[in-house]
Amino acid sequence: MHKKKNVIFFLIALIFSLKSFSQCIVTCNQNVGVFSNNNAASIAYDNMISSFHSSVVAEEFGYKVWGENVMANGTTHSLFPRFIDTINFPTLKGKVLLASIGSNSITNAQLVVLTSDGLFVGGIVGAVISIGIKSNTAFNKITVNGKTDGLPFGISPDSVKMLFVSHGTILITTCGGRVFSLSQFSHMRGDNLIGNENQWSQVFQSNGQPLTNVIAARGNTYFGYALKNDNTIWTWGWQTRLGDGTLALDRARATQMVLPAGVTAVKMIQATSQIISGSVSNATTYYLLDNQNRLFGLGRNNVGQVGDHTNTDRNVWVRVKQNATTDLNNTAWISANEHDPIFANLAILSTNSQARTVGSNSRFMIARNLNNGINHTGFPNGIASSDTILFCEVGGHTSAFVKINTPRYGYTGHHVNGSIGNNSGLDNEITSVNFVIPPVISICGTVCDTPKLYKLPFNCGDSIAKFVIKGRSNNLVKFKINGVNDSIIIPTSDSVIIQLINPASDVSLQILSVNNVFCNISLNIRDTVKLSSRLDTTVILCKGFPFIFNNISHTLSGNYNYKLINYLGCDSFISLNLIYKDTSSIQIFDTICRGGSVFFNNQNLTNSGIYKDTLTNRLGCDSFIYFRLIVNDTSRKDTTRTICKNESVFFNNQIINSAGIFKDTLVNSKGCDSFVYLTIIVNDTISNIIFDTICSNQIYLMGGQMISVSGIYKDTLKRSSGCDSFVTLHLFVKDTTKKDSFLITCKNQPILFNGMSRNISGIYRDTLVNSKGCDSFLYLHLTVNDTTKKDSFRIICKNQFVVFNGQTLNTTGIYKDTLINSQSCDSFMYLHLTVNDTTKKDSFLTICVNNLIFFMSIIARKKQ
Amino acid sequence: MINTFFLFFFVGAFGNLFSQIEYHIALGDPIPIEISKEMYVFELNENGNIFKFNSEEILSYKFQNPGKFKILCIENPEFFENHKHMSGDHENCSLIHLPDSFFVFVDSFKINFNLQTVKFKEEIICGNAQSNNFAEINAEIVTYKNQKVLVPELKILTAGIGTQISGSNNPFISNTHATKLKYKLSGSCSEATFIQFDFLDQNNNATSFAKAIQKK
Repeated sequence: MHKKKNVIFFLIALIFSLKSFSQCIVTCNQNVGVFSNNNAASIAYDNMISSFHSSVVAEEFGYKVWGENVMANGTTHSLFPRFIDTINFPTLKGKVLLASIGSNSITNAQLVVLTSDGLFVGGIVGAVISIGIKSNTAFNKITVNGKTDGLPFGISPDSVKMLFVSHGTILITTCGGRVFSLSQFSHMRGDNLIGNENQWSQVFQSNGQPLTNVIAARGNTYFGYALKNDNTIWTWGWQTRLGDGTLALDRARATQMVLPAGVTAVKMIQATSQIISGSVSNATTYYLLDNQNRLFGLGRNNVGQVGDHTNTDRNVWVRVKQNATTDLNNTAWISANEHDPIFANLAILSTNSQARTVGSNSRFMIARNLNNGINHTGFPNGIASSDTILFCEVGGHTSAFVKINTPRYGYTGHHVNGSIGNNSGLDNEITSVNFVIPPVISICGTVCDTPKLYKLPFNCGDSIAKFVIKGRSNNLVKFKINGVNDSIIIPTSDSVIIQLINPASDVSLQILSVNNVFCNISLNIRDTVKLSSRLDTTVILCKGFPFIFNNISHTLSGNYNYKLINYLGCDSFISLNLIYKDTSSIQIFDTICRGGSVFFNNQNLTNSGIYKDTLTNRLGCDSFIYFRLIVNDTSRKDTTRTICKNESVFFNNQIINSAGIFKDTLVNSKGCDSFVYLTIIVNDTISNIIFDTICSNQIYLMGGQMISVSGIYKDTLKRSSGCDSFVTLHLFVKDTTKKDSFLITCKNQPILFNGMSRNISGIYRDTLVNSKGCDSFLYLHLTVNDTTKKDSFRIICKNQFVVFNGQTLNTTGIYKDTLINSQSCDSFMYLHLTVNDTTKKDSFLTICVNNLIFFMSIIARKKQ
Repeated sequence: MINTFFLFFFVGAFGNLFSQIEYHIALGDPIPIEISKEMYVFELNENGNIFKFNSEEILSYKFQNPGKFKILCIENPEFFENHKHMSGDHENCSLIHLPDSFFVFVDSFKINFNLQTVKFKEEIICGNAQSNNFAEINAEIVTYKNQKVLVPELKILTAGIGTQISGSNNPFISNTHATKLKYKLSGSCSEATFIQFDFLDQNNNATSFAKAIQKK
């Protein structure tokens, strides 16, 4: 499948290659620089091509070259400009049609020349074309893929419109609008990676069709950038961008880019790259100039090269700015470093002929203050803002400028290996644009092909003023005669007469341009108005003004006759009737306020001063009016007041409650306006809504207000800004609960309540939490009944006993018995028992056995 | 992209055209320096630890600590030995010459913007003022040792034809965590075009994305 596609591509290329195109190279194309027009197809991009330290220029009589590696042996440096001809390049054959040069840093350049005989290349091997095509440095014709003119199949030298050269790459734009690439870099060939570095590839579009209708194919080393005649733009190569916000991407075929918004017609395209450390990644930057003089940038921006006064990479088109805030709106010409890949920058010419530069300033190559660094759009050093710059070309490590009426071009940057062309091989830096030491060059389109301008004698009695312009035949001369623009093409006789019949005044002719190149040559023919030989005139003057005529001062009225001869030899008869009249004068005073005006002598007067008007008095003579005007100043007072959103200010009979600047007009001490400007700053108020809940036994304190009832309450606080903060409180009050308990107890039976033992009558409260989270109050109504006590005293003998509380007691002591009293409480009975001892007495009696003795009513017997 | 301040004291020799270059970088970011490969070796003293780097290493080195660090640039004798066959002083031409040393200021945090999460409260339509519009983006704040840092006001700038839209957020304190940054927008745009939105970090380094914008 892939092979089949390749065959189709080849067939399409072959079919197109069989078409023939007429020669379209414009010799010494004048459409260049600040006077270039908007015809994008005829822009002369390559009237000067600068690589790293070499330059090629197109002059009227041929191409010149100087700098590194541009001698015929391909290694020697040319210290001064020399024609690309058979004297300097003996192997050259045919008429030189186009020339260009590409490089990759120092002493690494190849010169490419297209003649009617084919393509010639000389210089360091590999700098532009592959070693497989050319393995030596000597300048000679190349053969590519067997084709001995070095061009693509089907392409002859006279069908090449544009020859673009950069490091490793040659792009050819044909008269018919196709693009061919001879590149050492795969994607730069634009052929979907089917070709190689030793053969030409036709650039195809991403849709598989050839890229056609191209009017300019440019780019830089690794990527192509083409403009079609339908104002579409296309790109291919490594790290290409579309301007639609997508990131840089390698593209093996041309892909259509988006145009900057608002662009309908493109004038110029340019591109550059910044490859410092050898990395191609993200290195590409594009520029586009439209037909409304607007300049756009896109891409890598690490040194500010996009020109938008940032150093952030841009994946969308942005306007190139003249400062941080203002877009450039008057760009006439741009030149980027296209022919070397290392340093990215751009030079810009405005329609008023001012030059600006932007991007890398390595070795001061764009004449900015700092070596290297980030350089936003600004004026290069060495060029005054009043200078008229006609042309610029940014090279690999140098820049060139052409200034009007300055035959030597201006140079800045690294000077080495003859890069200036001033016959110097020094190695130094030119840190600002130098218009003194470079050689004289005449870049096509930047030099006025100076015509000669003569005038024919204008004698007494003549009626036609005649100028003669001598110049090159077929040159278009634009001129202005007595303020009227006109133009003429110089005929084959090399001269033309411009004449003005019956001129009413002196005649001035100014040549503005030749072939659109600015010129400034002018010539006057004086005294073309011949007075008649007689003049009768009446002169009325006011007294005090002597009339001097023919060296005689007249102060009195009268008739005076003269016969004179003018300096052209013609008679001049003059009859002078001189009348003197009286003059008069008055003074007027007035006072107004600043800003007001007084209409006087057909003008509005606004400043203090003495103004004069001249009227005619009753005698018909001057009546001078001196008007002395005093303008009193108005006054102004600015006041700032800060209010809150809910406040207002009464000012100038209006109530103001919004931010802004308000004006009132009063009257100051001089009776003039006193403008009072009041700046109102309104700070916001804030509303806060708070929902909260309390219990009915609690109080909500809000702004000094004690709240205990459910409801909506509002308060107004003050913020740090002094403005109100409105607070709305939605308060819900939850109930507490209460329970009463009645309890009776005895004194000796205390009740434990709320953690304490209670045996005193009274009301006690305990607080619990109810189901709503509020207090639940428990009230205890406690009645404590007394106990009773009774003491009994009893004395018994030891041999006696007492029964108490169910016990038989015969021991001294206090005994307690508890009974229940009438209040159902304990009744304590205490028995104080005293037991007295009995006494003992022993009596001894002797009786007989049979005797009885009564002892205390007891019969005692003898023990048995 | 490179926040570089050049202060030049011109002495005369090319090597002296530099004075003190300073780079301000976020924690964990590499030094945004452009160098010619192998032309220099570098020496860094990071908190008492001496590190030596070649060109590739210095380009990929990530500082572990915040602070101000001085890096010495030492000409690599091997490089000049290998290139002496070329044109002597001319060798200077396309090489990036560095000063004897430069400083790197490493912040105590880094912001990683997630461009996939960019949202606008209202669709941006050119011709409409954006003063009531907001942009949101998820971002990861990574701070030194997860410490709290003050993240200053961050900005959005835009680029494209006819755009003057910008945005800013409020400073905030953060340690390491993912967050959603909210920017209040202002300005407007005038053309239907592609607009590039640059989310700037604390050093004004941009993380960018672009989108097509329609006109009212």
